[in-house]
Amino acid sequence: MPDYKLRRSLLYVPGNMPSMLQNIPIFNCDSVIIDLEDAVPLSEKDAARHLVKRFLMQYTDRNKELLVRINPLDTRWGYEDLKVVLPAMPDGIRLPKADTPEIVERLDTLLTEFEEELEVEIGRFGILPSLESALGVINAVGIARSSQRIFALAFGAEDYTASMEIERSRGGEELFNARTRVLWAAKANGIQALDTIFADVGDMEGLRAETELAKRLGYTGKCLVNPRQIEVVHEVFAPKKHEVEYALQVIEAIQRARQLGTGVISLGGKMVDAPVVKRAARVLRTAYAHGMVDTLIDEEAIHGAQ
Amino acid sequence: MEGLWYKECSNGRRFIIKITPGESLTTRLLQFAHLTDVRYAMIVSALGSVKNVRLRGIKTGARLPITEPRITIHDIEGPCELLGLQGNIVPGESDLLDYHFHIMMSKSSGEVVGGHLYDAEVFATCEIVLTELDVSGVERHVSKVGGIPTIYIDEEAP
Repeated sequence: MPDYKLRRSLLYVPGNMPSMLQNIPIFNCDSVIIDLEDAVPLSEKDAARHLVKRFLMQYTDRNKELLVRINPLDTRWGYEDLKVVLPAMPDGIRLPKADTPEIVERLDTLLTEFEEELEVEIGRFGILPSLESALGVINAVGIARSSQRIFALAFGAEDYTASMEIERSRGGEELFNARTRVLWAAKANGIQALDTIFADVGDMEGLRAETELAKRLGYTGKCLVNPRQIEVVHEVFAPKKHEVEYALQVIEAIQRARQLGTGVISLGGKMVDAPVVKRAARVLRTAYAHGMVDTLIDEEAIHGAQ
Repeated sequence: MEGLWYKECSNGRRFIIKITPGESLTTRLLQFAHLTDVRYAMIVSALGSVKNVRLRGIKTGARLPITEPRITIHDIEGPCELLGLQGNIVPGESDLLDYHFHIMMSKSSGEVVGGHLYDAEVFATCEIVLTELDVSGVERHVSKVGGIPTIYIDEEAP
């Protein structure tokens, strides 16, 4: 069953900035990615992880998902990041430079070690691999399958374009192929796909356009670099009112069809069959997660036991 | 000798075995060993085809002991060509026969896969040469360090 958790907005917060960390509880995003990697200068790597640990331990009444972007495991900081931060119980780890399934698997086994040491449930910590290179994109399917901990794949366009030696454009046509490959891998494995950041925090229309593109392709969330981007992203990812209304009509129609003993029925002159019902169920799941409907649809009752 | 344990053994009887389609490869081998009073044995050769194979791989970076979170179980429907099977049959806990097998097989693409074998179903045939080992003082126990059953020789502590 697909992950029902809303992850429309994943806001990066530098791990070395106490003032930003303290604001995490009041941000309205779905998830926060506390960054120990690119946002933290080399001279502050050690101090930052302890600062993050202290913050997480104090932040007990949590109202959002908390992820930590560690340094790559092949650096001298990656393992230490895990060692210091995991006892403070983040929800998961964002793994940068996830180029191969083996890199993810290595993190998986390390998390197992720490979970045993901390005496918490195996699988407690999730993994969000970040696919940031041509190699990562090529290996997307294998990466998505490499661990049961993976709840989503994230596409990192900034590093991807750097690895491809190209510039990122406003239209994003140079990203299209990579975006869809990451997306296909996620969908094929029943996990979420999370889109890359939009770096120009002053261009809200550009952010909206890119987010709408990501949504049209099938992404269910977007990584953010500024709290001001949250509202726009949430607006885009929320189902439209007319979409929800139509979905409710579809469900009602298919229930009538089942009572009549048929697999299809007409609604507004259009045939309602299995793919239409599936799409409506997805809209209603999302609407439920957004608080737009009160009841989570019983899909088994609609589709019948598989 | 530092770093290893050993005991001399010699070959006893040798058997050529054919397992028929639909049979569990591991179950039939153990049954055969039991029926022929073979307590220690080694697979010399195995060829044929298999399906519904369950095998295990150890995750990259895993440390000992080998536990469930550190392995990946693969269920391969097949059928696949059986390219090789290695392993031994040694008495385990309560003197019951136990096995440790590793399998190698190929898909229709020619891709070769394999690992630690849990079980496999014979597809068209399975032709095995099994040699009995004349030895004593060797048993299989779960290793505290490794986390898996392994052979122990005489006074070696599990």
